Amino acid sequence: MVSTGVPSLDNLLGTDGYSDRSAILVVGPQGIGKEALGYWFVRSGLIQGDYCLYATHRPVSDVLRDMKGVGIPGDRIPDWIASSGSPTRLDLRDSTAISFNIKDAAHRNKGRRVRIATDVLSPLLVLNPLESMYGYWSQLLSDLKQQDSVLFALAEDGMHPPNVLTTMEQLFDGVIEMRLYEEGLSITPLFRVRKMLGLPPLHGYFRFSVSSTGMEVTAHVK
Amino acid sequence: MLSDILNAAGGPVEVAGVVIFLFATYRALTIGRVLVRGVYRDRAFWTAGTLIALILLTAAGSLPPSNPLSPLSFVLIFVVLFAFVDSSIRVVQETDFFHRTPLGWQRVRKPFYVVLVAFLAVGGSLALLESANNVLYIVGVLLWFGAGGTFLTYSAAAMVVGARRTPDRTMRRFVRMLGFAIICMVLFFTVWIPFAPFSLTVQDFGSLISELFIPAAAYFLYLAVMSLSPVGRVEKDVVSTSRASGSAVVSPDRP
Repeated sequence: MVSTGVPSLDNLLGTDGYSDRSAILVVGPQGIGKEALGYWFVRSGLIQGDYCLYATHRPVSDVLRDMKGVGIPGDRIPDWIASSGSPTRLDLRDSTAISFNIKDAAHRNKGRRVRIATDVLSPLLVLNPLESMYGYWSQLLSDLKQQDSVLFALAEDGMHPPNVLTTMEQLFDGVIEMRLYEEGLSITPLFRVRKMLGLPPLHGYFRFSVSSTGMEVTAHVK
Repeated sequence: MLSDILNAAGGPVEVAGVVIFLFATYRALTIGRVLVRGVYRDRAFWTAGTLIALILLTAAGSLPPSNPLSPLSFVLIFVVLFAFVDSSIRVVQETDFFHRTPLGWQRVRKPFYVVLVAFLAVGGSLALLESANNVLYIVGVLLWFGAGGTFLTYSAAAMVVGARRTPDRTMRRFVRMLGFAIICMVLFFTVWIPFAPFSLTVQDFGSLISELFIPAAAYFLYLAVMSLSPVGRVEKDVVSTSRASGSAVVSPDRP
């Protein structure tokens, strides 16, 4: 198993994390904290000596600032494929190069466990037809699963018609949905585990909080 | 008689508007509190700030123009509106995958802040202190509304350009609702004008019609606030299960 990087989430899943050779999708609106889950996943890998790659359409400096904001120290950083500030530049118009660079980085670290976190799923889905992206991600995930790797992808749910995300979710072994929920007068950030490889359906909502001291996940008591 | 009824009807309409404004402010604050990324949190808090400034502006409308709080509320609304639009443009830029800056906003925003505050301070002081001197008063008001109007128009244009670039549908909805709210505010300030030359009853009718746009504007602002982040509803009868402990937390909807 591969730790999520958030002990309370590992505990809730009851499996000490995500399955080996799996692909996890986190869906949610902008600003809710999806990235934080990705940062802690990468951070956990760096501590354990895994090879970690962060593929992002944002500049490296932006992501590092965000990481600091959610309490991740900058002593260990992953390899980058980013729009700027990284040796390998990420260009959203060149989806072939993105896929090639991710697979190449994973292949060069074949002897180690590989963790890849990326936020390019939504941009590529917006910029390319769904049919071609389905094949593209299907191929990429299949190639990565040939070796000991876990891919963690983020998707913005306000950017796609529902059928697009439903289609893409089929390709992933785990799907986590993060969202704000209205309960009377209060607004609560909750997530649901829609599916997770190796687990029976995990019903219900889980409350999460992200702060500069870390991330905490608890079962939601209404 | 009819005039009294029209006047009496105006009160509840204004109260309804203020209640919706207050509720929208509360919602903006609660949404801002739980958002993680700073840029989205800032936008939610500035939205709340704008709503508070609008409430103060409405309250200050009943003050005489010579009261210092009256022009101060106008300075406040210009600065808060500008900060609110600025934070929205930064979100628009963030949600654009290519992070393009609409109308060179990144370069001009800081100089705009400095110049806007300076012009409002000078113009406001002239208009307030020299109300007896007609020329200085006019210069002051021109500085005030000229600077405020120009910068707000430019920033609104940058926001619309940015919103057209972003694929984020919630952001587009936010901008659309904001547009409707602004239209309602403009109608509130202008609809009574055609009724002005007529009898007192007709004037009161015109005032009531224009006052109806306050709750409408407040409602559209509320919808804009609810577009800051999509908000769902917790399904009933759901058991929250932890695999590790096997414990289950049952919602109170379940017997």
